[in-house]
Amino acid sequence: MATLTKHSPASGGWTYVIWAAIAILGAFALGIVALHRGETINAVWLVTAAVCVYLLAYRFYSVFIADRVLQLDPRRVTPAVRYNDGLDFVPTNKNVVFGHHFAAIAGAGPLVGPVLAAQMGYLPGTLWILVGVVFAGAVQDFLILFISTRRDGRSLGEIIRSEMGNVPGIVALFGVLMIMIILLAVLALVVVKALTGSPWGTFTVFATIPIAVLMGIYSRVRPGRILEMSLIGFVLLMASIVFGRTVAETPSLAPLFTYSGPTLALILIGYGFIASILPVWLVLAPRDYLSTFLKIGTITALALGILVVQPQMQMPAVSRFVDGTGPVFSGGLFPFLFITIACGSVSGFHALIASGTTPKLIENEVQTRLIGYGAMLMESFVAIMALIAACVLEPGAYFAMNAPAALIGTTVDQAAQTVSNWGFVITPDMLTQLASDVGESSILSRAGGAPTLAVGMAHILSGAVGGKTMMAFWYHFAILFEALFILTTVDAGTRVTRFMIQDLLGTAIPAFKRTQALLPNLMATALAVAAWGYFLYQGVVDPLGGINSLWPLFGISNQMLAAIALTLATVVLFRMKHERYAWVAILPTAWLAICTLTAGWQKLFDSSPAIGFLAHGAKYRAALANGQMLAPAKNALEMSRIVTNDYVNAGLTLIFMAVVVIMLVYGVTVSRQALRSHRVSTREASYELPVQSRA
Amino acid sequence: MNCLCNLGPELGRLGRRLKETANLMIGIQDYETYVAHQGRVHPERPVLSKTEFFRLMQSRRYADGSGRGLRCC
Repeated sequence: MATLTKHSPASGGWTYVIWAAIAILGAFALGIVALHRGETINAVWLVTAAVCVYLLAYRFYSVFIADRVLQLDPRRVTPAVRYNDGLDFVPTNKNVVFGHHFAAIAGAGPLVGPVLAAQMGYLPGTLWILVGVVFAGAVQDFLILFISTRRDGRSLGEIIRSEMGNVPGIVALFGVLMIMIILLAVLALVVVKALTGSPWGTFTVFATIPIAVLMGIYSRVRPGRILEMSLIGFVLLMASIVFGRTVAETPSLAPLFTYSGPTLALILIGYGFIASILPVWLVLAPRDYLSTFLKIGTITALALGILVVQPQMQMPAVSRFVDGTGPVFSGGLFPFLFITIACGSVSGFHALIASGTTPKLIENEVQTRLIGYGAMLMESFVAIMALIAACVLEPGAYFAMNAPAALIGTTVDQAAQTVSNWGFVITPDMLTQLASDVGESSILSRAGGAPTLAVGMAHILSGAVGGKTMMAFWYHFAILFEALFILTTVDAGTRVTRFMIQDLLGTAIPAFKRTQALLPNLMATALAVAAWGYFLYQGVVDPLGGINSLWPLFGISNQMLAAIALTLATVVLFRMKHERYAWVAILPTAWLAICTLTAGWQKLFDSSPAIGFLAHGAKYRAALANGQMLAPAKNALEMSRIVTNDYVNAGLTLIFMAVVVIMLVYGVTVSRQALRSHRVSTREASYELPVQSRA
Repeated sequence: MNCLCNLGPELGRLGRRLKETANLMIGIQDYETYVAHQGRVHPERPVLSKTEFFRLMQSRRYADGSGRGLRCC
């Protein structure tokens, strides 16, 4: 009961007054965001509404989960204390762990999804980000962190195996491998979309490789001087952005860094292969350091920028594209909004982080509330800022940037006319002007989130520092910042995928398990790169922009993983005999299962070729049979390749759905067994330190 | 005035925490904590130098199957 009194509001009346005031302010701000029509609203209202919701959720719902649902026990020994080795298991200050955990969970996801979802207006995205994080995302992170902390910091796969059985354990691991492949492909696609035909952006992103190598060599000469090497790297990065303009404006240099989408995809695939077999200190580690610090800095800068500039939201609260005919991604608000915004609301990937390094650092299990629930609220705030950055743009510009060329054509005149016909008035001059403001030859059809976010950020940051003259700099800064940590993810992710493949193939061919041997290593790396490279390439040549087919696949897989993690959490609550509160995990599990299965079903069987993979495949097959060629295919071979891609995507969707269903069946079965039993059946680590190590 | 006198050490502690956080974000544990731990628990074993410790941490973060360098989307 000690914890109950610990979190209860202090008896002083002031705390009640303050929380009541936050509740009223939050309700008022949400009211403005939700109900205001006609004139534009200020982005600060969105920030206010979000912050109030986070404060209330953290103060009340997370305390409810901590005290009633989980009954956190401050006297219980954590793995960091039990196995303290000064290396992996280290009891660490809770604020330090919070920073570490946040840095590990916040990636490109919360920056991309909300930008895409902005096509439906800012209101649907905002509501889903807020409701989703409070009742699903932060709950998942908190529960999994708690569960892993009580089990010696073991990984999600291991815990599923011990609490639910071998089959669900293997199914979950297989699901994780699939999500890695799709994640890498879609992130690489974001980079390709941002750099196509952009010598300035391409030069700065290429420049990160020699900069990282230089930093890597510096770290061998002066080991451990991270601040020094990061500062050197940062200065060189900024210099590369400045010099990038010269490259783009010099006729002899610009063509060296101007590439088409498919070429960039091949370069990235080659890069992914080489980078992931180089020693880590040479490229991966230094760039990881740069991208981590730059990410934290940029997120802070964006937050300050929004507060200083206080931009107006130009996008309508709800756009006409809630009906599912949107150009950025196809499909109705339900289920596709909930698939498109994964990170920021609920991200299954976090379950891997929350059962990774973080639980091995926690001093006291009551801190899992701050670190699990709290850090996810912060990530959600990043998603809100990304949504704001997309919605402060002129809607016409937003749609011209995010709609595929197949819909809006390839010239500013065609694009302006089409987008204006949709009801978002824009002139060709405005599009040309915007492109020249950010130092690009064209901004049309750059779906993928990064360029839109970059223009939005440039808009906000140039309002705070530098004005219009700095806009091109800020744009390329934002592109570089996203590309930097996406490339880090591609590099690190390829290594992780390679290991998973070796592990999986190793069960059949033992030689593959030798992760130190060169040949199995190279072969598994090639397999990993080929797997994500395949999806990347098909996305790049897709006439509908690739994001249209790949992002839903990614969203479905990420939400699938969240459903798996929350199913585990449900099972654990039942086995703890806390079934009275199991709804805390059942509610989001059910919602995610409904969303992923409905979205999966529609991606498979919808009769519209823009949504259904099978319908799309059938359309191309019928055309091929009639001897017709449909863009982008120029010959029969390309036509049949598109048909194959559709079937591969359909197969993948089916696998994701099967994984969800299998996990649910096991979840229900194990929960019912636990319900019938009269004793606690969880497999937690022991409560106290072993006697001999107590000093 | 009392709080002003404490400002120096307070700022020092804050700076140390920030450094610790920044290091941990990139997977590098606190060296001093490690040294203190070794001295307390394994006084008989040799202690890694700062350079060795840094290299160990760096290679472990991206080591096969560790998942330490795993990043979210």
